[in-house]
Amino acid sequence: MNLSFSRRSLKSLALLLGPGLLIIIFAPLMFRVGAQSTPPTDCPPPSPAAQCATPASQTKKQAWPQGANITVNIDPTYNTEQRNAIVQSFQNWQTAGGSAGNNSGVRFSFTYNSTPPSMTPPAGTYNVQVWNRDSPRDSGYGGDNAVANNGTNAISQEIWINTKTTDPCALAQTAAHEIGHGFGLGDCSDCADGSSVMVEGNDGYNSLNGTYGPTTCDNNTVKSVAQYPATKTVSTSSGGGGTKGSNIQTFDYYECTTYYWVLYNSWDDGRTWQEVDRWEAGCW
Amino acid sequence: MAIHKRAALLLLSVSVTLGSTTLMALQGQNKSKEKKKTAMVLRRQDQTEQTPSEQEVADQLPVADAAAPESTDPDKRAKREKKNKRYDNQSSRRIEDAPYPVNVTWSTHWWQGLSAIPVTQSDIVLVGEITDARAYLSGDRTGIYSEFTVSAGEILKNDASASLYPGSIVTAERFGGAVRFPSGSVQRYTTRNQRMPLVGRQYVLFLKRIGTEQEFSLVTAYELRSGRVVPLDGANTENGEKLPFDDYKGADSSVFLNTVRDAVAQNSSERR
Repeated sequence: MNLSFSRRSLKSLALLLGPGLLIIIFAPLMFRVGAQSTPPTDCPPPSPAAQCATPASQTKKQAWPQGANITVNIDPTYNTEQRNAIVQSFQNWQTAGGSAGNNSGVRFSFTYNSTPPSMTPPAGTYNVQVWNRDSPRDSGYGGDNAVANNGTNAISQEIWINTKTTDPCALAQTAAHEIGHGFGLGDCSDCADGSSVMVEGNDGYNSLNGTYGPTTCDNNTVKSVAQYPATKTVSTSSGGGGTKGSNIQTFDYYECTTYYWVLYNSWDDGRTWQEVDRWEAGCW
Repeated sequence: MAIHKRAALLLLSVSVTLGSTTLMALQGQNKSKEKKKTAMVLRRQDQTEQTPSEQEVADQLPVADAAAPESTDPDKRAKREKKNKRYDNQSSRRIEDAPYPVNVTWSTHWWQGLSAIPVTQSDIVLVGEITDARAYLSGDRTGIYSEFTVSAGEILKNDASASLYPGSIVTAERFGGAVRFPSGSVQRYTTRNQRMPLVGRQYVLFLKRIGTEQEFSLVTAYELRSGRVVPLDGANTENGEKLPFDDYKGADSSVFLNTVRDAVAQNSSERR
């Protein structure tokens, strides 16, 4: 049997198998996450990064529109340290909104009034109210929130942080978690500490097992559920007298059919089958 | 020499690939020794039974009329006012018409501490048919709730003070609902991972007492449909959220009912 290979066939084979090998070697690294958020002053770093939870199928969720300028009114009963900690969480979400993060392009500005802003703001404006109050639905929750949308995107959010949550670091983590709901994220009870801002507190109102902003996993999920299109910046010239051009954003859209991997289990040796899980395979 | 290096690399890559494939196959063999079988199928989006979208869930809400007049019967009016008051102070915003559609979704951790069959957290567990569903605004118009009329069938867990029997009529309440304004616009208020029971459908309902009469809040429910169980809540969970109720999705109705009966029996023996 002739086992000799031509240089071309070896190259083709390497091209075919190489990517598989790379995936096998680097897969554990690819699915590690890193907490990218900045802790507030004097706060401990978040739990070490852990593996992402397996993403389930993701459908479009109502979230802040891409590039929205959002006014955040923080309850004036918080002291300066607490207030700064909450602001840091919003800023971490804002920092994560770039093309290397979740593409949201959302920006936050802050007020500290005792009167809350409108939860049905004029079209094109967006408000968040952060209360130093127990949740009206259940006073036992550390944090709670309600997001209003107009059928297309989020328009306002009310966040209640339990009055027993007083530690600035815990306040920042609770706020970061509730902000995540405005970006379309749900709670992640199966996520390991440090893997997601959407983990739930495990040690009472001042738990510190969360993060101060979105992780890489969260940013990927936000991109999936909020469906922020990738942005690319194109320089244009307004012409005439050599005036420097402004930057405009263009969005890449494409149409495709979504396919899912559907996992079935049979408990009667294959006579009947039951769908147990489904996740997106891709769009083509 | 270069070719030898490439060949060695290639051999390594083939052996790693074959090794991992064999490992996966062996794992598969181990699994196949159990009774359970697993199959994975690639389906187009339109070929899968979709979990309901947020919009579909919102479309099934009972609707309140924002301009509905109060009852002229003083007794009925007082009862309604008492119920409405339970849902006061839900927001800094009153529910009023807006120049655009408004849908509000609450993200609460309402299922925390609940088991899939929450017998201990329920005063009443019954099989019943929903015969009516209406929504009402809270007294201060910052909240909304839905009220379901249930015709009881089998009573799986009874409450001495309720003493229900098959044929009893009870009402079950749940936060949320839709409100229609005179302008014709409709606003919807929902809770993440909660849905509303539908009129004409049969459910196993887990109810908690909230009033002195036959008034209960709906803890959770399972629909009995074509001999199978469909959890009312949690069927639209995503992003790693897992609710305990999903464990019984697609279970056989009669097996499920026996499981509930056993849980009730165990609960009552523990209470003695």
